[in-house]
Amino acid sequence: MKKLLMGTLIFLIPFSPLSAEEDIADLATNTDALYRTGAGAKDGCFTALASSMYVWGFVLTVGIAVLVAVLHQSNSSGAPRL
Amino acid sequence: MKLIALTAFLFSFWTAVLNADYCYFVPPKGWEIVNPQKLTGRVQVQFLGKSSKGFYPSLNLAFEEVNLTMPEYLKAVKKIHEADRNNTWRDLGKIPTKAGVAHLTQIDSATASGTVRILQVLFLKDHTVYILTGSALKEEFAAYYKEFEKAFKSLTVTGDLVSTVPQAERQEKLKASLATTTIDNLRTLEKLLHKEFADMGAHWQFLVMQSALQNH
Repeated sequence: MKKLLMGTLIFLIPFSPLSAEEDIADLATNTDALYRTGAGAKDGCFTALASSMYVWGFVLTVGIAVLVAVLHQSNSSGAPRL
Repeated sequence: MKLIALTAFLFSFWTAVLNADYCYFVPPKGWEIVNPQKLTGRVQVQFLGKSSKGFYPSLNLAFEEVNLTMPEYLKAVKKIHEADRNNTWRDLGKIPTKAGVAHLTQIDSATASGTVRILQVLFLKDHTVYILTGSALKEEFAAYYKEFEKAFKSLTVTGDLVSTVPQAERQEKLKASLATTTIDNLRTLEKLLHKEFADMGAHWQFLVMQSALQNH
């Protein structure tokens, strides 16, 4: 009887909630790893675009600022106001 | 038992330290290194060139730990890039580098400043993918292609930075200098690197300085 109970218990351990939790954790880790695969390549592209665009944005901002300053000066130097 | 565990840990730690690989490339002359604190994600280093159109060409290097083969990694990368409708991804085949045969891919990305062409060199060694990314405006790309190609082919993975210096005499000189370098005289090492190791490139110099800092 004792042997039968022990055998049943050993058979049931893989189906226990504890074991299921471990399986879910393993699945989550593997899915996460799969989902994140290629992130290095993505980071490379993102950084390349972000830093170059940052410079482009800065140049654009300076350009707009200069244009505004020039327009402001030409307005205030005797141009007739409507 | 604890002693055995501690010895095993120390052995594996030092094995890992001694086998740690350095990866570097030779960026084009005159390109500026970006402050490492401004880099994102897995990107280790980035260099920016100059452009009259405001969109600066760039080269950056990223690492990623994987448990995949190169074809599987390429498949994952393709999926990630093609998930963005603004991107067009192409596998351009193989490219020889100093580290070994790598894969070259191309991404054209539509942005506010025009279409940007991005070339990526992917090299897999010991479960690490080394990703060298070069980008420039598509309309200016032809002007930078030679520089990108030269930088891509210079990709090197090594366990010892000194051994990559071509001449034995220069290796000895560098070893001697590194042995006497302390926090107080890092400037001397920096001057030596700029003066006598300019051919090794700014990235290699950066890594030598970084390892000298870590060792002292």
